[in-house]
Amino acid sequence: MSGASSLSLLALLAVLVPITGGLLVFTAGRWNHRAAGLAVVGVVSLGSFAIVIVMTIAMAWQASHGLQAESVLFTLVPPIDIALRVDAMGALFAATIAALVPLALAHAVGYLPDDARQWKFHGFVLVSLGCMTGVALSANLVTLLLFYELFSLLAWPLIVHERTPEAFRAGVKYLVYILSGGGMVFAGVALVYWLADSAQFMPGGLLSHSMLDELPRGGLIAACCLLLAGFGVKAALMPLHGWVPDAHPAAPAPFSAVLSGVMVAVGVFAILRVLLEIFGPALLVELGVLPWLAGFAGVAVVAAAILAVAEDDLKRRLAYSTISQMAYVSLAVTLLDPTALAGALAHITHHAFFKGGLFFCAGSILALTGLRKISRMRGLGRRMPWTAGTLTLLALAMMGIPPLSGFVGKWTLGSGMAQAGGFGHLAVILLGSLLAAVYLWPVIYRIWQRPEDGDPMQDGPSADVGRERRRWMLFAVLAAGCITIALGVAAGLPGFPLELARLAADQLLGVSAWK
Amino acid sequence: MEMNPGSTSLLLPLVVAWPLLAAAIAGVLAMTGCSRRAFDVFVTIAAGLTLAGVVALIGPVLAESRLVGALPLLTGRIEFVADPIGLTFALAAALVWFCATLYATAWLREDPATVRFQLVSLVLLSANLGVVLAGDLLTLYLCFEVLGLGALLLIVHDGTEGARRAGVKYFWMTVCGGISLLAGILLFHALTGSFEIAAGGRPGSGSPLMWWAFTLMLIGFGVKAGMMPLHVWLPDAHPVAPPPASALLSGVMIKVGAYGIFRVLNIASGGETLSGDAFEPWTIAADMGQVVIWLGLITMLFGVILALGQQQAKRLLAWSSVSQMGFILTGLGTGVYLGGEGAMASAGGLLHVVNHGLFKGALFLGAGAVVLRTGTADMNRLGGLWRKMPVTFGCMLIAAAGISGIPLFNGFVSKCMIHHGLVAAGEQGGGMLLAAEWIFLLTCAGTFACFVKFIGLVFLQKPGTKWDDSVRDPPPAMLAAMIAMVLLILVIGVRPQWLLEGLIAPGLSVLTIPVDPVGHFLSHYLFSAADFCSFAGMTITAIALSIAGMRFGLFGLHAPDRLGVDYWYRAGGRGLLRLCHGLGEFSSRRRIGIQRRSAEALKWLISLLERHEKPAATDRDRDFKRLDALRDRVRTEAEELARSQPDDLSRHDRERLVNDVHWISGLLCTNMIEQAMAWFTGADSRQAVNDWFSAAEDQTEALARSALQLAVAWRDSAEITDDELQTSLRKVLPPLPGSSETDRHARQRRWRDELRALIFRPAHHHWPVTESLDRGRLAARIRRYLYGAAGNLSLALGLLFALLALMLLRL
Repeated sequence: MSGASSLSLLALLAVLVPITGGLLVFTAGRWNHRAAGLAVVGVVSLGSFAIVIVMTIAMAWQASHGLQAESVLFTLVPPIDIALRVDAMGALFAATIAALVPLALAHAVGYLPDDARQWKFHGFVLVSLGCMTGVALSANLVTLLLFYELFSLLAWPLIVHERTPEAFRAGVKYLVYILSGGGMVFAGVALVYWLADSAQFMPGGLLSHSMLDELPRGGLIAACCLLLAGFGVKAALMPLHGWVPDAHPAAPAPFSAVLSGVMVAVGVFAILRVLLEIFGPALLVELGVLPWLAGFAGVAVVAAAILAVAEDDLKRRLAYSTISQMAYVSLAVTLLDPTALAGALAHITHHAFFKGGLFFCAGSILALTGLRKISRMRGLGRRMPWTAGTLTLLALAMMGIPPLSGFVGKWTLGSGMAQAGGFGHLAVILLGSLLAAVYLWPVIYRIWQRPEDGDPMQDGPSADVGRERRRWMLFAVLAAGCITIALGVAAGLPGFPLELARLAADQLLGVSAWK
Repeated sequence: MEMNPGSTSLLLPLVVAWPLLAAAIAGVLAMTGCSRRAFDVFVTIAAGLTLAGVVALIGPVLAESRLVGALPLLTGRIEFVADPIGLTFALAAALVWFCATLYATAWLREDPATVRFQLVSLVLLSANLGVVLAGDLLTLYLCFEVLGLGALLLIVHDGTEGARRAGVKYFWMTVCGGISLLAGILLFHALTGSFEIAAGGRPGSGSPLMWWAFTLMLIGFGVKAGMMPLHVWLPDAHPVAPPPASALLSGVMIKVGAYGIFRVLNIASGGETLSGDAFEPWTIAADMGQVVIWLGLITMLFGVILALGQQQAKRLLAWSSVSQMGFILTGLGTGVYLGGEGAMASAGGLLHVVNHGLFKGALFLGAGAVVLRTGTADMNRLGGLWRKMPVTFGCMLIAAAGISGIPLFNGFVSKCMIHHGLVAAGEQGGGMLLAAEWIFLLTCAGTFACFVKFIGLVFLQKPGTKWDDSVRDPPPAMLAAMIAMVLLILVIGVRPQWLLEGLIAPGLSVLTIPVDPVGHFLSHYLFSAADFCSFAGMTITAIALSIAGMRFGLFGLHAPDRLGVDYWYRAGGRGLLRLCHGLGEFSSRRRIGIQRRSAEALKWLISLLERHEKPAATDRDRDFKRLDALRDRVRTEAEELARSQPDDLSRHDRERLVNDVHWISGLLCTNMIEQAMAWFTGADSRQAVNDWFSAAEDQTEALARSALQLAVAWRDSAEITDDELQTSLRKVLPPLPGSSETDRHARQRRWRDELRALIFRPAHHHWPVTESLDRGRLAARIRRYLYGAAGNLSLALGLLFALLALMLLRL
């Protein structure tokens, strides 16, 4: 099984390389040598990306040959071990994370002022990358819990990086929410262990494989609710989304991009794992949990979008938009339809890039002009044409305009929902799309209006940003735009997220998603 | 008829993709700084090549009856299918586009955004061809959306305020229509299991889902087609666009909506798939046809009524477009309603698509020429141009004759065919459909009157101002474009067989509709008495209408705003926005209110923990309260002093100074309170205490001033020492006897009470919390945030636990 062991080695590397690299950058940051630091950061992040891509290819090859790979790292207490496993959904997530973080770091090189504190930022982000990859590749609930808690805590210093009172307030709120959520997850994991003596992720559901009649129904529902609520805090499921609209504007823009793009997605990922590989589709239908989740998710899609319309601060608007878009995925999983699930998984990946790109744009705008509020961004298109153009493109992608990437995910999602008979779900999704247009169009319109004299163009001081830093930020913005176009236009190519997502839906639901 | 599964062709995707490629090349050319002339020539040649490509496709399509091609894009491949009907639309599109591009090279002479216009125009040509040649609904949707959004760029090209407003309205209608179309397509897919256009699949068992799918797709295509009541964007958008763009919009792009409706109706009325299996018609096919008929009739009638009342030339043409789209929809709907006998009406509708593209395109181009030379489109100020711009006048006359349905021009043919179809529908359906014919004739009369008005006011009436020599025929490129279109109008009028029997009839027979009536009609349409009688009747009505209108001033009437759907759409949009903003405000206010109440509840809970703390002697509490009040007074005065400092400070520095003063005065006073309370404990009499208080309360201003001095000193140095504080206090306050000993006690007690204050915040306590430099302040802040965040979360958790309990109880 040399193939399997090389794959598990790759998985291990994918988790450890960023962590050690991040620690290295963090500690070596005190010498504050820009070129060397950038080189190390670049090597580590791009190296992790390369490892993850190789791992994904190897996984796809192995999946077509019917092999699975799992590697046990170490054992805590005999039944509880920390193990990694590479399957399609995990590989897709790991690839998304590993692709977005280098872009975010590139933007951060331009966004953060050039002092010794930037290396702390880079170090923390790299370690978070490793932990998130660990979450994506975990083979059982305990591993997932371990890496999940680690990266949740690591997000706090990144949120409060700018050390403004607003950032501290947001950081405390984030901590309270995440620690409560973590407590609930812990209770849920403990319950699962009590019910099934193990917390392994099994396709078809761990608990389904146990004797259903023997398991107390109350215990099952309690475990399900605890886990959903606990992960739902991170996944910004309403009404547990309170930390999101405060954390995003407070954090520096590159980390907001990572927050919105992948961290919230990791919460959704954990929900998917729990629902599909701990409980399993059959058990879920039996328990009757899915209509509740659909209700919460549906309300989240619409309510978050409505609240987004009311926000004037650009980053807060984008934060509410993230809540709304991530609820699409929770809504999709309640139908247990493979095409819908494939669409939802592809949508997560595409969303990571266009939402990340939107945050990059917001960060560039903030750094170069000091503008936070949309109502003051009149005429920005003339001052920053490339950033404004990419912002328009990414906003159109979010609205679901073909042939950009947002459309591909929505189309697959929608056709899956329609086929499965979830017409209410479909109506909610389309209403969410319409509201996305409602809250994104004013931004586009305002940017391309003609500036008038006497327009207040400042919301706060703008940093004195040099040419080199501007170029880094622009590079990140343009890269996000190009990726969005590529993922949309070439979505059907092998190796692109849509195909991986279909494979993942296959594996998770056991039914073919090739429609 | 022997069905042929489509044979693959490379030319087909090439023809669709070529304008896109040309746009890219043109963009590169423009960026590398080629001359205007070269750019114009290239763009015109590109449009011409597209036209040539479409013409070249005619032969193979007629031979094979269907061509299939694909491009790898999006979720796999996007499919193209060319059958004769699609090719008819494509031909009309390519023709009008070529003429419009030629015209635009002359119109955009001094425009700085020429490159953008031509590039967008080419991309839209590609999208348009993609829609009409689409093989499955995904491709159709893709191209439809690109077309819709690209047209926005053309509408707002001039950048005027009116253009922007029209663009916004157009954008919202397009987005809503697009979402509706997407919903319809997905429902259709759920019903029939396939995305192919040429395949109908299982018709379902008459479920309400069919009506939903049809209605949603009808709305989606109807917005594009300018069908009432979704037409509101059209009369604003078409006039504000530059004339070549208006010609494209009116002449071609709205036809895409009609194409979509035609395909949907077609799928519903049964036929054969590409592979030769027959599929049954939907049970609701005839009803769908009837819905489209009535919508078409309403559109045509109200369109022409509103067109008659217009004063601006381009708005009149835009409303006339709405009306003519009604003709097309009526024709298509009748064709489906009559099923196997509907060839006449369908063919009429399809021919009218081509016809309208030609004459409306020519009319818009001519109106553009008038605007170019005279600078106005207001018909009341124009006139007398027949002498100054004779060639334009000739072209306009022919185009107006075409649209009015005068025999020997193309409009007559298509209108007659639709008329015959409506008569047959009235015979078959009875009831309300009998009135359809009269509505049709009335609308024809109205159209005639409308264009009598147009030609009369623009060209023939006595002008208000004398035109000078600059008012002459437009540049040759524009004239060539107009003349080309007008020639085609004449050709189709005199020899409609070429188009009808060449493309449209074969197309209908591909869709398994018997086309004998069409041939029968063509063989003696010029000699049909009934048609001429209808025409005569219509002319008389038209003249009567014109005279009545001009005599009684009916043409100037305006209906109140609220009668029109536009007002209600706008109100709806505003209402939605207001709802969103209101909900957002409500949520944040409620959140704050609930937060506050939860925080207070938490505080109350914590205070329960220290109930055992009995308050000390009332005297001491009173003293402490008084000291606290003293502290507040000092703080306020210090702040005011800081704010009224001489303003050689920046705003930022002043804010910092105020903050510092606030904090240092607090620190000073806390020290004062500690020492005072320590002394009060051992005081001999109340009188001494009261004396001290009265003396101290006189010194608040001096205390404030020393706080300010300390703040200014602190700004320059790094820290404030305890000794500095003590010195300031001693300088100002009346002396407290025995301070040194009580100082030590006070300092010891300070740590213990600080710790206690960190955990609890008792309502009564007589030892204040020290605001030492780094710990106390941070602790207070963290405590505040914790309460806030916990209060925030507690509602959510409470909700969740309540629901959890509900679920558990449900078992």
